[in-house]
Amino acid sequence: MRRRHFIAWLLLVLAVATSGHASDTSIQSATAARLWQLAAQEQAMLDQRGVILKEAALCRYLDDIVERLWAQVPDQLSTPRVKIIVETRIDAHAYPNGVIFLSTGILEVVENESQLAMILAHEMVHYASQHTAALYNHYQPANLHGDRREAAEGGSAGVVDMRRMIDAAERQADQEGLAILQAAGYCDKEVLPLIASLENYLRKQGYSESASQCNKRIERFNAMINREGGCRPGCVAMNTDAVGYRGRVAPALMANAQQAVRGGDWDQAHRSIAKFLEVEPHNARAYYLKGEILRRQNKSGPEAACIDAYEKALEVDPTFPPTHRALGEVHFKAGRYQMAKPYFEAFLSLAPEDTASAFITGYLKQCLN
Amino acid sequence: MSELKGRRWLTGIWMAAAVMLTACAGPWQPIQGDLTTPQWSIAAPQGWMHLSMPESEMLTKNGPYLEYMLIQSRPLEKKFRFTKQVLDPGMLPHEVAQLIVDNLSSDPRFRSFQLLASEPAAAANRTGFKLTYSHLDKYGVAMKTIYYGFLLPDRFFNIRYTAAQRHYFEQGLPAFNTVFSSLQLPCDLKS
Repeated sequence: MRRRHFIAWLLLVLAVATSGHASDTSIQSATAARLWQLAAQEQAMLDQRGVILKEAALCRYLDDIVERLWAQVPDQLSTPRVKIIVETRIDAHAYPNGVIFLSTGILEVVENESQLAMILAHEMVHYASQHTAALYNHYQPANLHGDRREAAEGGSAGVVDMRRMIDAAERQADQEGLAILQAAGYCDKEVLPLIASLENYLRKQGYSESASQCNKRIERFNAMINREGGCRPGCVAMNTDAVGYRGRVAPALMANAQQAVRGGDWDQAHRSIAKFLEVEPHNARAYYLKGEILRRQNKSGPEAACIDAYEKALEVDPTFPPTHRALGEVHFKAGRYQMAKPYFEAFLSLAPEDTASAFITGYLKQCLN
Repeated sequence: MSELKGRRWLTGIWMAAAVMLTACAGPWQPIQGDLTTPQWSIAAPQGWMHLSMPESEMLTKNGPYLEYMLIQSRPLEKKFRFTKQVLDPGMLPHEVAQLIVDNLSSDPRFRSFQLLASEPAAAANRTGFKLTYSHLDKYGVAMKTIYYGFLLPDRFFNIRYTAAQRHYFEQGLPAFNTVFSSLQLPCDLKS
């Protein structure tokens, strides 16, 4: 159990660290096997938590990008696989067994395919170089014991050493990831706005130290891109289309909006659903969710805004049951029982097996009395 | 010398921790007779233990990892752990139930959370809701819960029974049903 947490911690460190030195990537096969087994266990736990977004079209899209990038990696390891975690925070990390996790949050912050490709290329380098395995190998119990002794003696050599390894791994992933991106024909200029977006996000979330490290990364990327000469003009239109990209990752935007509603994070919920509606303006579920956000956020406020959103949802799809239920509830709570009644009746006829139907039956009885 | 100072420091931490722990929650006590608080009263099952906490009471027979009942009366404005949504006295029972489900399903320790039923229910003569759900706990044990809740003007009252699905849930269910049907709130007690 402790080891599993250690792996998670190493991945987290690799996912968020940004600055340092060279690492030894060779590991003994027994250690690697154990590490891969732990990685598989971690992934099974995530599956059990039900947080993996299983959208076939989106997964195919990500697989296509991965194949295009992986073709540029001279490695014998098997092709990485991408899984999407429903999580509004930005996160991307590669497990040593080649599974790359992207959060729906990072898919929302990214603005186009070239930016997404950079994140994937960066994580691929961590996988191809087995950075997590190298760190794990370096910090086996015997080594940890040494570090603890050093720490007890007042030194922090172990921490500094680890920081160096992580920094080196991050620099390598940035540098080689950029080369993969360029070789695959993506627009490398997009890396700069990507890092700027991540910096902006981190600053808003209060991670000022990580945000300031983004500035150093921008400087490094700037130098590398200028040295390499920038992307080819032909690549730009294909891989920097923001609207096309957003259309592809729309399920992630919807998942973010739904998760933000569950968590009561109204700003995030508004942002995600607005972005979704930009690319799918005829989606009843999205308008329903917009109504829910407005209603739940402002319980005692004016109803007009949420009613507008619900009615828009009904215009798009008059057979979408949750909208009927929601409109019925709004009128019922306001004491407009005759207005609530047809919505409740419609809901019950459209979704008799819904988990809310027993409640709605009760409210309907009160409308009839 | 420095080692001695370190030991004193460590002893101090242990003492502080002990004081803090006992201040937050007393030890488990065997149940004797009914359990009564200013907010509610139940006929407690004999042979069970209970743990008093500031806004709740936990009961168990075989240990809280195998089964427990939790009775809680919390201020409406008190924040939930996994959602920033807040309760409101004007909410319908179904809306309160949804908020509770949102909070539970956002708990990262809950794996394979599955809502089995959400239905209207009355508890202590108050209209509310009943949830039935299952999940895997942090050790991978399949747990099942029955959760009743309702709003009072300034508080949210809930009573739940959680147990390992295998063996313990069915074993403790009659005791929970007895506790649940004996539940009384202050105005019931006065009358």
